[in-house]
Amino acid sequence: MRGRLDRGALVGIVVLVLALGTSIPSPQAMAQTRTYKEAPMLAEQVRAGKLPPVAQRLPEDPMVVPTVESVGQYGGVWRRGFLGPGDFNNYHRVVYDALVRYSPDGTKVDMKLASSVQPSRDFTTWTVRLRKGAKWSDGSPFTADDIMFWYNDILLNKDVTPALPGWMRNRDGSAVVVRKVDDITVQWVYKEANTTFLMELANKDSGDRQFAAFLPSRYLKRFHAAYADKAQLDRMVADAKFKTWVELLAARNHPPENPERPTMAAWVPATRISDQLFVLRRNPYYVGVDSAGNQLPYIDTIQFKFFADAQALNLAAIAGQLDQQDRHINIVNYPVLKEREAKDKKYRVILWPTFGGTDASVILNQTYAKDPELGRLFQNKDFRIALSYAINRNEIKESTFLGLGEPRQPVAAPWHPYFPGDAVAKKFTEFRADEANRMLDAIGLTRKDAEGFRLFPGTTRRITIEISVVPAFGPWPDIAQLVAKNWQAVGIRTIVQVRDRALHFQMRQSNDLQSEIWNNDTSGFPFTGVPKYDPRSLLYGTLTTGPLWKAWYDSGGKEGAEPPAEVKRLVELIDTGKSANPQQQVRIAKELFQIWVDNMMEIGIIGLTPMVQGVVVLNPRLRNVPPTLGNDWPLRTPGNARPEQWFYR
Amino acid sequence: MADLRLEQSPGRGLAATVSEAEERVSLASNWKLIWWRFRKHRLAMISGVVLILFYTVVLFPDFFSTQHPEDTDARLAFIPTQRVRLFEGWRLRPSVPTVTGRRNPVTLRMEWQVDETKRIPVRLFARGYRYRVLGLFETDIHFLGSDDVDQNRAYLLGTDRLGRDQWSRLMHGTRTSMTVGLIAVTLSVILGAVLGGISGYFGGWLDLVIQRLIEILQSVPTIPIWLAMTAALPQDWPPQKVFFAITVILALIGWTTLGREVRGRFLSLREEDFVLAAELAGCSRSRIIARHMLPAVTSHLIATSTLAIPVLIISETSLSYLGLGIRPPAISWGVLLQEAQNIQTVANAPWLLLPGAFVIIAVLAFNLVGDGLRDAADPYGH
Amino acid sequence: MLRVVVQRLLLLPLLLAVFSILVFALVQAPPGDFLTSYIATLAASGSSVDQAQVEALKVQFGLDQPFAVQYVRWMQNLLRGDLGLSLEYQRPNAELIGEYLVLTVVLALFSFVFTWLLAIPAGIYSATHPRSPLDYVLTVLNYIGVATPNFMLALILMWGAFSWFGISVTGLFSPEYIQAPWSLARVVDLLRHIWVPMIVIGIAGTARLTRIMRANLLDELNKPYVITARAKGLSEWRLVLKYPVRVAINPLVSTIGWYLPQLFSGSLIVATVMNLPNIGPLLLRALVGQDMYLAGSILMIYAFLTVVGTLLSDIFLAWVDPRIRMEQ
Repeated sequence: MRGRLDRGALVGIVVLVLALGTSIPSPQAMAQTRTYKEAPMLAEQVRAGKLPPVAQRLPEDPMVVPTVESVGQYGGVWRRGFLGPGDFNNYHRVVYDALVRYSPDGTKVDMKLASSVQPSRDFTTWTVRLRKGAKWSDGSPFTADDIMFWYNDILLNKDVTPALPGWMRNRDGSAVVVRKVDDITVQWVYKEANTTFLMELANKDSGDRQFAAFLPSRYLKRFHAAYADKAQLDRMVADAKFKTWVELLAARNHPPENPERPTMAAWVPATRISDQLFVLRRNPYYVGVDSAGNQLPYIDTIQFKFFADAQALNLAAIAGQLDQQDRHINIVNYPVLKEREAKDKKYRVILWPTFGGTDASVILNQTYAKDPELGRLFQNKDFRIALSYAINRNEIKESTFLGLGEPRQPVAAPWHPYFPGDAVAKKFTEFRADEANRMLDAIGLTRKDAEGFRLFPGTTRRITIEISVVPAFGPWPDIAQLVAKNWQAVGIRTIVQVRDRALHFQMRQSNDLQSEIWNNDTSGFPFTGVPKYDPRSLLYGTLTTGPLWKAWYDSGGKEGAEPPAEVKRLVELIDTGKSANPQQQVRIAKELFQIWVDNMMEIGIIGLTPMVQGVVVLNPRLRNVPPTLGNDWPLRTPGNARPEQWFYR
Repeated sequence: MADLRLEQSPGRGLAATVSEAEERVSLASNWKLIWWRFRKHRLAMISGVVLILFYTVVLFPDFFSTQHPEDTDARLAFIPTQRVRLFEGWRLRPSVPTVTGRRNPVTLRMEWQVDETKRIPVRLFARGYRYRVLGLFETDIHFLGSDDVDQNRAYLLGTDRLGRDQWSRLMHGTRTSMTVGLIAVTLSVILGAVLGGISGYFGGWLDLVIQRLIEILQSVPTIPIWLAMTAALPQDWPPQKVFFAITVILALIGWTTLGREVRGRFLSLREEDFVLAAELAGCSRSRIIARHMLPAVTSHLIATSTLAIPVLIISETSLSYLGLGIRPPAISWGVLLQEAQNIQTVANAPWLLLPGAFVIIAVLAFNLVGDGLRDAADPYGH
Repeated sequence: MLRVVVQRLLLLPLLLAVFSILVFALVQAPPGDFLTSYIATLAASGSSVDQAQVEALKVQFGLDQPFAVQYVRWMQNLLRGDLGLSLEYQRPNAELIGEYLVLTVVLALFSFVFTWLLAIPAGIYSATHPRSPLDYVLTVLNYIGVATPNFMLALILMWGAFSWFGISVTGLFSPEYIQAPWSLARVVDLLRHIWVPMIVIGIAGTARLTRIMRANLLDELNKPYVITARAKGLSEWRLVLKYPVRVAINPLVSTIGWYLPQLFSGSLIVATVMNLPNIGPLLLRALVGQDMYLAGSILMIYAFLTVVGTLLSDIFLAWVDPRIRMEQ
């Protein structure tokens, strides 16, 4: 994987893309002169007069989707598994319904529903142009009004949006201005330069049940208090057992919960995600075509089958009952999958390793307050480095990751332009128990008790670290036990607490975790979304490096704990990164990683494994699936593999 | 029978010995009688021995372990069970073959080659890791083991994904699981007998209250209680304490079936003549319950409680499967089974399901002993 | 008798009120709330939400009210027969439970019938042929049946069926029938799938029932009236079936009321492992995800059925065994 992209060229592309907004010389002109073709099932409906002809359904400048291997053929059902209504991101990842989207390798942003996104010279104004004549899946026009509805009635409505999301907030806290230029053009006006706009926009689909930045305004107005008849709206709210119209609006807006809601995606829901079988059917108005002028998608139907248990889903994959599945495939089943692959030939298995970062890290809570002595120890950089040296990463790799991946620190992947080099990525990852012992002795932890455990200086109290770990996401409980064994070997008593994930999250939130095992994904996106390097984003889903630092930032320095200089520097870097030009961003990201690793903010263990949705089971007849792929949540994997151009041979 | 033989006896000497035996019977306590009858039940006796063995392991898990149950080694993952060869030629020299493993480059599975020619000798009372016996003194003598602890270890029942010795983990799991069952059942029996007895004997509003309480307890599914408890127990408790608390909870919920059964028995016993006789003779109620009615339901109590132990053991494993029971790093049969509950194990490492066999054996043994005891204690049996 | 039944019926609302508090407390007891567990689920897929999104989600799920308000509202609605809304599914609970109910009851009935059809004859045979080879075989099978955790059986069976026959035994329908309306073809499809879960769920019950039947019948066969009847030359089959079997089966029949809540609850763990679309996994999911109104609703229905089932059992018991007087 590492050798597949020329890094120099890549940096060039990224820089170009981020600066200019649009990539690839668009072959629109070429496509326009063509006549378009459509799926047989749609052609039938056109003949029956139920659907306008394909040329009228497509925008004037359709998106031409490059195919991985060849132009495909229509038809087929894509069977996939899901774990219930809470698993709706499974849907969002497949359809990736956004104005712009990340490329398969994850290093640039391509146009999708927008035909162009152009920054002003100073990066304060971004002009988004939609594809002219594009239509929602119900045939109604897709226009600037659909963005303005989102801006005026969702984002600026305090009932619906109690707090402005970071990307729509100027530094002074005011809302970013969005204005309509013409029917298909909208401008975002920032007070400061913003160089991350495209990357943010690429994640403004409905993922995580957020409101996308473009909404079917015509459909949704009937659920919005500003437009709907009050009595009628109240009745709808009561009938659906909701308490407020906002709840109703949110539920009706979320495509997997409401098949009636028009979408712009290649497939639209035909049933609900709360059903046993969640079915998506082709969108006759999808904006994408292949290079031969065939309207996409190729595959007719996606069938998500409900599994109450991931184990049963894995068995179904092994039985060849799923045509493409990456999500919920457990890495430990890889050997069984491979053996059956050779035997039954019902599927093939490929790997999409994670997009940098780590798949397991130990994080020490530097603002741990319940035991101040322990908290002080966690603040000691040498203590953290010693603990890093004490870990035998190769054993962990062999025992828990089948020998896949590599020992590394949580920094961008080697093929990513932000990669800071092996000197940083591999720093402190060697297994050197003697060095760990020496460092621990050097910081004054020399006294030990009868069982060989180190004591707090000047006391008879053992230093005891508790690692909290959640059994849900990866082989983390096993890793925790191996880490505990390693740390005990250098005299640090370690207890593993396996916790229910809700409890773990709760404790992380309330600053009650001493340390945890978690992964550091999204390392390729330090300036957008919810970067794990930013202490201010510490909330539920991020690492427990220092929960009280967040309180300090939130309260303007009145509460919580003041972060040390290096943490303040991290915050500074992230903020400058948001408005720095792309070349500077590369430099800033590298400095960020350097500080993160030098100060051992997070003890990285193993990375670049296919742990997170990286073991991919494929129907052998399924074509155009890229053999390598950037795999991360911001990329909406497998959505960035452009599933609309997958087809069955 | 004895009477019959006495009449037929031709000489005084024989009559004397028979009457001695009869005297022995008539003088023997109830429990002695039960024991004599129990002894005749061969399967129950065998099961009793099995249970004694189990509880010996419960007392000395480290002694019976060949290795430390937490010892991990990445290079020793997924070793299959090893066949012990007892003899070499004609000499008793138990040994296991050496194994060498390598990861299959395609499937990434650990594959082990058995080398029957190079063997690791195994012997009794070998030296191994140091441990404390019942918290009293320290030793490194183990029941079984290979001499060369560092280089060539024996993995009788194979290893798990972290290269931990399954045999040793089973020994430690046995301690936890067998204790859970025993403590919880003891508590439930006490609760069930007392409350069920009161309910059945006194009837009236007491009965009403206790019966409704039982209904409430029985209709509360265990899962949410479990979820709530595991979360509500203080996080800094050591595993043993958590495990004890969980056991108590199990008992608090588990006594209801027993309670209902005792009540049912009492309801019918209350109508029996001997209770009436006792009442007429002026016995106090508590005396009637304790001296006359409880003994009459003892057989039933025993049968039900021996049946309850396996149910508890299974509920421990089931809850652990959901990730709600005893959690690693504590070891129990449930934990071991939970770690084995995946396709990978069922398909490629079936020996890790062996803890299931232990569960089955223990449950079987409890049931057989329970049956034997019930038959032996049943006054109408023979 | 009638008086007791009326008395018990009058007690019912009080009992249910106690339940509702217990249930709500239990559902609330695990730390965190729906949102925590919701965000934890999102984190499983690699996403991490920011503060603004958390605020938005709170509004979207109506979670900004304090706990007491939520309980009072729940109770009020419950009294009006309104089960409320599932947070995760964003659909009315009554609708959801209704959707799952049919298959839950069907599966439970199947395993119930399977259990009884197998256990009663086996119990009779064992009791009438004690210590015969087949009795020993049955006894051993019973013991093993009781001793095997059924989720383990399910897992092994699933893998076995797949690796030997290449079939998948999860679920109750082939994909094309999952959403289809009821038809003959769908019923046939159901019958083709239902036998494996039926056996897995039924096996432990069968073993237990056989044991009890055997023991009860053995007790009965030792009674003087049987010996008398036998001495009078009654044929063995008629002798056994006419009285002792009926007497032995009575206490079992009287516990049928206990199956009522089981019909509804679905076999939680097995259903989860085998991916069965019944109430068990729905409840487990609601509990773990802290979807409190859904979990509360299911538990309340369960409690109601238990109380009614127990009452029915008691009436049965008094009916088949007049020696037990219900009133004091």
